[in-house]
Amino acid sequence: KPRSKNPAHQTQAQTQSLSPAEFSHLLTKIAVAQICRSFGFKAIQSSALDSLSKVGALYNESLASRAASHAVVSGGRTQCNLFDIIVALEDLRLSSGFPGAGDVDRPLLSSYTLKELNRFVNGVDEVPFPRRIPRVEPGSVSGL
Amino acid sequence: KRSSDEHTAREREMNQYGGQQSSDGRHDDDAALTEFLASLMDYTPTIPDELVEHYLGKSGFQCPDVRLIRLVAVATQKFISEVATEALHHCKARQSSVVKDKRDKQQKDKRL
Repeated sequence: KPRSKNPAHQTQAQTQSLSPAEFSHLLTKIAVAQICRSFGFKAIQSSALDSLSKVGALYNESLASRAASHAVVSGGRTQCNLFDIIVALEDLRLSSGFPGAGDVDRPLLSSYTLKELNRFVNGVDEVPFPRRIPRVEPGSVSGL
Repeated sequence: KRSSDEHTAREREMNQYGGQQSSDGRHDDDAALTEFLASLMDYTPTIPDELVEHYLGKSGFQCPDVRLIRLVAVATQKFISEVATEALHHCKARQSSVVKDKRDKQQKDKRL
């Protein structure tokens, strides 16, 4: 499908503003595309990139909400700690299974999910995001 | 839903983590864990901290410790990379089976 060569149309596209949700989705797509490329992708269909980015964002949100719930349930805390995150990681890993999942007395700090993450960090090269994203104070108008 | 026994065991562990070490094994584990958390600050995840914090904030997750933000970022990156790797395998398998079918077809034509 040929791009519009109409300068007026292009200007309109450039000045169109994104909602906060669209903006974060766009940033997520950039990060996901970089991850895919670093793992050998030469190309990706835009619909596939879109879906993978949405799923990635949902995974992130799921980790966060499970950790936040665990903080409240297990200690009446509003701030999450490492244990909350480990519980969340294990919850999301349960469907595919991991060693030690069935052991009800397993110490959280020796969780297999943490060991896996350690292996990932040690084995996979960094692929930093191309640009710094400005940190905006929560509640400000132009925030994410 | 976790049993009450498991809950108590976890609580005990949580209390011990901040307190005295009870055995050398536990101490080694904690040292490895501290090292891992420290190494997270050296590793730059592809998903920037600011973006991760946006999604965390949406879900009610609050934590001042940057190492834990990094932990979530790395976990998400690992998840995406696992899906991507699987997809790539499927793609290659699909392409190689197409090539194989074409080759078989050509050989059959020669025989005829």
